Amino acid sequence: MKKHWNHFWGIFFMFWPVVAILSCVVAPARKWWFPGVAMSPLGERIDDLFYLLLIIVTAVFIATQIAMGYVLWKGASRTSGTAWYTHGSHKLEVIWTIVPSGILLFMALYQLDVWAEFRVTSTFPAQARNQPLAEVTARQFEWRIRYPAPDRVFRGHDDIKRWLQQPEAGDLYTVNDFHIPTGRPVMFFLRSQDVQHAFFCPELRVKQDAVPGLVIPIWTEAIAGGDYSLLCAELCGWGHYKMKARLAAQPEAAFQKYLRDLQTSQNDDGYVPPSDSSEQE
Amino acid sequence: MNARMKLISTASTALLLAGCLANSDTEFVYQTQTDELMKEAKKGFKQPDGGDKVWGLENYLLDLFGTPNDLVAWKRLPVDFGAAGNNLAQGRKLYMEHCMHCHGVSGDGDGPTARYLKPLPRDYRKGLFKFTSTLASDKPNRDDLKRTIKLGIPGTYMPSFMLLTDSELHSVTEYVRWLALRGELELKLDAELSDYDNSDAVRQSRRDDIAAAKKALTAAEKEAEKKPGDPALKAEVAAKQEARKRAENAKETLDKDVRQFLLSQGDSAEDGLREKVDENADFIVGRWARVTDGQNRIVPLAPRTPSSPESINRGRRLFLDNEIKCLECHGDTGQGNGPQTRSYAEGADKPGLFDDWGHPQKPRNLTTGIYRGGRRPIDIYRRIRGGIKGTKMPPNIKLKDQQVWDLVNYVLSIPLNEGPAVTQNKHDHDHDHDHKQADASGE
Repeated sequence: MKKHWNHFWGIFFMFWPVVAILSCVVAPARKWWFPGVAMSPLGERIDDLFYLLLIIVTAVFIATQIAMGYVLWKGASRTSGTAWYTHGSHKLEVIWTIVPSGILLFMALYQLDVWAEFRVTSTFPAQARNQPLAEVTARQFEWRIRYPAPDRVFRGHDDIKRWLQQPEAGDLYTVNDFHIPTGRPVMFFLRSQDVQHAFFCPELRVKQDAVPGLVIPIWTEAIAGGDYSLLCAELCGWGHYKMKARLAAQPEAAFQKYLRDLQTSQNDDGYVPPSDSSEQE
Repeated sequence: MNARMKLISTASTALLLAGCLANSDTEFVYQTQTDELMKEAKKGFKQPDGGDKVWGLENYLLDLFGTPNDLVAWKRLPVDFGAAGNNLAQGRKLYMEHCMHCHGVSGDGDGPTARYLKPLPRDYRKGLFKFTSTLASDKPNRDDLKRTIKLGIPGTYMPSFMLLTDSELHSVTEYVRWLALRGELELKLDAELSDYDNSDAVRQSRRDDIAAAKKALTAAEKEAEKKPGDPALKAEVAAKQEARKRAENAKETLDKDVRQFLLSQGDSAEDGLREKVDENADFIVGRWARVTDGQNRIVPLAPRTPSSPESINRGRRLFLDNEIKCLECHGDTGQGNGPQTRSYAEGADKPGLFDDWGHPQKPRNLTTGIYRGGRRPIDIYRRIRGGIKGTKMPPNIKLKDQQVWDLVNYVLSIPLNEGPAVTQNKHDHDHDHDHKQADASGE
């Protein structure tokens, strides 16, 4: 009896890692995983990085858990003999410091490219950088979007800065409904009207904090059209959980049509030409 | 585990589970005018000879509208209750999730988060909504309310609920209208019962009356003592004694009166106030129903004059015009700091403007580019033509359409200017010249 009880903890601590591995194996099929495939090129590379890390970490996890299981089992099986004292092994310590450091260093350097392309403005695709698409302002608890006039062409950094500081007559405004064209990189500026928010589009793998006082450029490219979610990912108050907008990616022609329709409705003067019948107000 | 552990874990589990017994005693609150009525007027009374209970105001509201957990779909109201009241139930669920914490359970604009908000959330119970497309004397139509919910109100804490489905938007709008109708009916019945006011002020004035009557009696008695036997003075004393008795019996008389009033309003004791309820309901329903199908909308008869420096100049001159008086409130630079913000309205003890809900109201600062009711030209047109209900922004029906469009063009241009717009005109130009000359000569 005593012998079986000794092994209890070994079994207990081996049970949970097995559950963890099994959960990860069934997760994609059960949708406990990413919200679909990444819908942007940079998103795909981010996903690749994630899988690389996952593989490395899983290998290490399995190895260490097997080692721990072995030690627990063997230790519990030994019912006689005293414990022996050791000063440790310097060689072992060096190995299991240098090898993990090497792995970590590799991971840190390997991901630098992707990180930089996402964060460093000068690496953004020039096409997107030179003609920003919109200004997205987060406020409690909605997303307000301002597009430049459809025929607006920006001439240089100063022009863009001026547009950011001073609204113009042809600007188009919407709320909670952000449209972007597919098939080309686009850049927009993120602002906050009150507290910290975060622009988070899981399908496009984009996440960026909106800090009050800062104007932060974000770029992305939607591979395919569809309605994606624009969520807030920084606790901003009681309504944070439902601060959701629609991010609609449309083919270029449909997007241009959308902007023109928006312009028409924004200039709506409510005038209805009198019909032929004599029904006048 | 030992006995103590068992006790502790049982007790804490019980406590935790007790939280799950949701307190579902949510109730609609009544407005101040209702709270200040006499008890019989509010809650009715039991007849002493054992007949049915005579209903008061609260009983009627409970019967016709119900409680938040037990809604009543009163068919007389112009509300789309949906099949078997589905709309109302879905609307209530959405309202409680998204709207209640600011607008309150009863739509009184006093929910738990309202205290932190400036401007305060809308109190629906007067049936007044600011940003509408209907005439100044009319209720909002469904589209106005839906637009507000869908687009939010920039510059305030009302967010946009763009992602509600059409059915959800419809049901929550109907619920808001239902709350507004309930509040309006309550106010109308308060007016019917206004004679039976039992507020602090009225109670105090009764006490004052008694004190005054006592004082007058003492004075009359003193006078009579000086000249005993004088019949005129004796009559005075008797009269003053009568007055004192009347003042002390005032409350009793009123009690009799209110019961009489409640009983007399109908064929039988059960009807009581019923007739008045129906009358007032019909009146309110008529006002809401007459805009449901797009009638009485403010629609321009001329298309918008395209924006141009000339049009903007004309608009500015209209803005500064003494007859039209925009700058009285909005100020000559449109910053909302006109002279009305510093003067005392009649009967007010604080300077400035107040809205119909009694809150201080600042005229809109037109330089910010934030348009609460919408930034389309038609929206600004409607603010000018129809005013803003519930506020001191008046409607203007005298201006011609072209003039209103000029004003609209000017208003839309204000935030885009680097400084106050300058009106270009020969006279002004000469005037500038004169100043320059004066400066040059050192004066």
